[in-house]
Amino acid sequence: MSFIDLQEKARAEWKRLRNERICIFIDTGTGAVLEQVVADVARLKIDAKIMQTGSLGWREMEPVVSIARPGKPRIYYANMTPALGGELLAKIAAGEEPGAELALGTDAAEGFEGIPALGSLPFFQAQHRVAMRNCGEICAEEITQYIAHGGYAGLSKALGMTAEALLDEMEATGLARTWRACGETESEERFVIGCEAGGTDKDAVLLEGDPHAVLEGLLIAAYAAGAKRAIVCVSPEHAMARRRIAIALGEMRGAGLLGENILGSEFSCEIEIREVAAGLADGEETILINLLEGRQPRARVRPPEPETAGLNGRPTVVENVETLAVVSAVAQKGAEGNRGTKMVALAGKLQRTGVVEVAIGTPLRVIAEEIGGGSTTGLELKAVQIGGPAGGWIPAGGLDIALDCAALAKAGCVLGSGALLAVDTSACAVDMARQAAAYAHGVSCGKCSFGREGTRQLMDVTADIAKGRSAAGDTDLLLKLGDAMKAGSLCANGKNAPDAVLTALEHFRAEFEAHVSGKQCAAKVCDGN
Amino acid sequence: MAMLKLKIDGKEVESNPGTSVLDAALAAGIYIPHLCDHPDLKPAGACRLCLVEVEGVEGFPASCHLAATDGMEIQTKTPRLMELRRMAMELLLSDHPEECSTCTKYLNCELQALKQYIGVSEHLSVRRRIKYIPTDTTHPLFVYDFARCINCGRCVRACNELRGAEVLEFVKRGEENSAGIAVGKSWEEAGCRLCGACAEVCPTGAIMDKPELVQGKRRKDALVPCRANCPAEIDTARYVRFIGEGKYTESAAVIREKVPLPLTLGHVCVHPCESVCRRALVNSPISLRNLKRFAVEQDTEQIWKLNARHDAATGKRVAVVGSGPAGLTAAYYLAKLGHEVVIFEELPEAGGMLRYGIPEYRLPRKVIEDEIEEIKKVGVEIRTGTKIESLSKLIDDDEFDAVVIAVGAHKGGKLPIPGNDLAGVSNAVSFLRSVNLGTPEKIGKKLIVVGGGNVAFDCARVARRLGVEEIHLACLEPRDKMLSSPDEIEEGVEEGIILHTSQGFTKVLGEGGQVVGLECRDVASFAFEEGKLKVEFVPDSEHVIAGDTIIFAIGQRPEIPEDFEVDATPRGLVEVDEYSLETSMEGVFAAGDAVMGTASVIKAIASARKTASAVDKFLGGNGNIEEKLAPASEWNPWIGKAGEFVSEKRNEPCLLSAEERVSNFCMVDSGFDEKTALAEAGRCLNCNLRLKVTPVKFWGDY
Repeated sequence: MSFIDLQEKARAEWKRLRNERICIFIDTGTGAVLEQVVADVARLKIDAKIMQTGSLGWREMEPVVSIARPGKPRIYYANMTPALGGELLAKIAAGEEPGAELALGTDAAEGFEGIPALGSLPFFQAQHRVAMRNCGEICAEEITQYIAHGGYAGLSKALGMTAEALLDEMEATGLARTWRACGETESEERFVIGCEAGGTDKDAVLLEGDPHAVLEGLLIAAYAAGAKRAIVCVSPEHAMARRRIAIALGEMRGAGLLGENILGSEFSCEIEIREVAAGLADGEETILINLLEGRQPRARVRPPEPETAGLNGRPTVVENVETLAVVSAVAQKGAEGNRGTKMVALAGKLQRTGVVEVAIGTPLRVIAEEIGGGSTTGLELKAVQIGGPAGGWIPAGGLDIALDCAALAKAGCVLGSGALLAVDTSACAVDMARQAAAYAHGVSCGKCSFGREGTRQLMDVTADIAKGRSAAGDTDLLLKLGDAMKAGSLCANGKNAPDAVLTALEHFRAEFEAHVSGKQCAAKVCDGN
Repeated sequence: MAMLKLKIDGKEVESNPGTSVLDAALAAGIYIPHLCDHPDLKPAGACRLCLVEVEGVEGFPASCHLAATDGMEIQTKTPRLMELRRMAMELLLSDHPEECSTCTKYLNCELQALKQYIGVSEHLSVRRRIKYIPTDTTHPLFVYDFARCINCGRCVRACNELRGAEVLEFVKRGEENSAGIAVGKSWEEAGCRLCGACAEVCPTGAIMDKPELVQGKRRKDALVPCRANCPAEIDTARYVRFIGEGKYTESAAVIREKVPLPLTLGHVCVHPCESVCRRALVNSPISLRNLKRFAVEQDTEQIWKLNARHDAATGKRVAVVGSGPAGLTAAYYLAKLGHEVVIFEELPEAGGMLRYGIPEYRLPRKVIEDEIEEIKKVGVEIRTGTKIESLSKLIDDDEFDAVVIAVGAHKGGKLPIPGNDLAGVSNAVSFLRSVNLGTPEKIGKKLIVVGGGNVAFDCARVARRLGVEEIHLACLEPRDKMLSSPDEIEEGVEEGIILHTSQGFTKVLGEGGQVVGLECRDVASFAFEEGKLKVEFVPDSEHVIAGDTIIFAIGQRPEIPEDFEVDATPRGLVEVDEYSLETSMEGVFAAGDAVMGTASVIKAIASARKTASAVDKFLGGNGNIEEKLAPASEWNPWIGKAGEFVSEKRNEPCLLSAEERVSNFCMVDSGFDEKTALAEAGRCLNCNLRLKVTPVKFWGDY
């Protein structure tokens, strides 16, 4: 059937569902709760549809169960347990109002019977969710819900354009940096790959919550770049994500959205799932490509760039799944309001942690204090690490800096996967540097001298400083090593590896000196101090 | 395509499109330090030593994979680059063993040379640490000392991209990174083909040849011993390679470059090449002799003849006395050099020991005749039935400008024990000659052959074919020290020869002037001291082997006519000058067994080649007898994955069964068919490929 028909049918189905049945949405990681709800619904003979969504992204509130009764707003309940679930369902079965005590929020914009609008909660208010638009909201295993919420309209529109026009549009939004070069390289075969970022679980949340947003973006990219084969790379430990993608692919095929002549167009494309440990590839596309070819996880020299010669020597586009989820949003609804966001994995000593999405340029302070609620320990925040476990540090005093590549680069940091880790004043800067250096060494692919031996030196020297057995010139040695690695490493991973150490040194030099000359750790964290 | 013009350190450099900046610089004589780059391998960009600065471009790209473009301006020695290079070097040295002088690669090590070039001292600014990777000596050819590995990846690229064997990879042992074979796999399991490419390209002492295989030898000889050990310098590696490629006429041409009797050798050569073949370190040596035989048998095209030398006539005449392998070879080369050559042979037919010593079942007469025919074709005249008594007559009366004595060693000896002159006692030479002349000496019903070499077995097995029922072979040596080849012993025993090893002989027993037995004692041990045999007998071990005929096969000496008037050693060998190969008489040379004592066909041929060269020089030529008969070999570096390569056992030719053999003088084995020959050639380790890897130049060579 045509896309219009598909969309109408899906919308009608969603409307009917909301108007006629009780909808119970349960997020991931709630086996016991799910079981109990299913049992209770059967026992109480409630006419409810039980659906699984992905996470809303607010870790402290999980498990979240939301219930929407016909004609009434949807209400979200946090920290659900089987017993509480039973209570709620009993009230509903009896026709009573479930009560606001357990409610977190509601989808009514003005709130409902004392329950605030979900979007007005501090955790959500400062967010701008584009990639995560459907996460926690729709059933992650039903394509009709995705379509009813605008899904695949982007693909439909794209297929109505020429690849050239689509490229123009996508390039104008700043997406599609490598697609044109891929399409313009003469080849019998091209690939588009969607992959997870390493060192964070934000992409698992996205894939578990809204796999179709990623897959639609993947197909759009494939069409624009002239590829007929696409690959989704999932980390082995993200079993739920993998399962949902597989279900999604099956649904797509059934709806004519995958395989030959997608939506009746000339465009044909196949998507396959491959398991690749995201930590191995660590964001360097050539390592990922080597792994997919069955080779060892080492970086390749560039040029040639993957878009000219990548997988099996063919032109290949590699995108983070987050980018693809944004691509589908832009294709569906236009660039306005859909560009310039970044998912952030918020972690550390904050009141509210999880996975969020903010506009690029949002000051880190907003993320840490408004969304994250500030320090949860009673101690002040000391610093925030950005980009992953080997990323650079922004001191508490510098949190007005914008979440923006250029601004962060000036501060010696890289946005990377968008992970943000907050530490309070109980942390020791030397220990922070030491841990980051050890992580960087562990994920180093081992190919080039600066990456392999440089990260080893950073690890050993920071460990020595932490243990109080360093020599006088050690802090200068760290600077020298970091500088050489930034200049001479083979790939971006090696160039960014020293960031944590260099920024820690820059902002907390006194702590380093105290460890070196006085053999003292003021925070009482480091061994032997 | 137009050449690119670029500037490197202010110097104008031209290069072909598609060249890297590093290669362009090196070709122009400008040295940019590099370690992971190698002329035969794709660039890796791993060591970070070759970083350069490009005018107008930020960053420090590695020049090994930076494409040269027209108008590019490169700096290689800015202060910043020197700083980065020094740091990269220090990092590479940080976990490399500090002590250089105990490493086998000392003074031949690229890392050491670069350390000196860059000027890094023993005191590093970075932390030193020890890599705990134990040395691996389980491989038959190489020592893997991966504590010295600097992760340049050359060996991995050589093994995977150059050779296609896919054995080496990057390995993590706990914390440590190095190249190597995946943890838990043996070299056999990983499919190593022992080609040595890894050892060849390794810039440090991480992968080295086992010292006992290469120490004290020239590199070429140690690495390709089959060729080095052939007395006649046959390029064994090359002819085996041609067979493997299905190019049999080319293979035969390679053999022909050095020897004129290739098929004979393919039947009877004692194959010194096989005894040093490196495949033996894996399981068994390549059956090189049978491969040689196969190639020559398959050579119908005979392309060797197209480029065979035939120099213009010199007007000089050379006489060769003796038509055994030495005489035939010397005559052949001298005739090709343009001299007029006449061979004088005492016996009715030419061939020497080939015809009158070696039995027909080992060397068919047709083979000898065909090969002698080729020798005659280059203009050699053979006068059989002509014994030469006096050399001066040859030189003065018959006007020969030079003479080569190649009379061999045809005087058989007997043990100096009582009874050795009884009726029924003979020696190997006279017995075998009599058989080959068609009038075999009479042998009784019980034969005892005394001796443990191939000649002794020739006698015993010939006697078997003549119908003698009971044949004993008794020798001084224990079985594992017998001088005959293992095949001879095995085939002989199969044919019913009864072995008595470790025997000393005291007396030939006779009755009525006729042999009835041989008195023996068991030998506990023996040794040669100052040329004299000292034997320790087992006490009270006297016993008698009953027999009516005894053939002594205990050694032969040359029979030099008295009137030759050339100096001889106490053992009767012709004395020749070490360098000129001339005897005590001017213009008279000697070659073969006559000079060396009984040796082998291949040694006789080798000796004759040298002598022919010496004679040519004496006659006013330049002594060069070399020929190029085979086309250039391609030496494709790709050898592919191992499959069953390591476990493949040595192929043996089909042998007639003992019953089939003993009643006739037919050839005992039929050699290799094509399938077997290709399988056997496929077992070759391709040692020679290593020498085709482009050698790396050190910085001092630029």
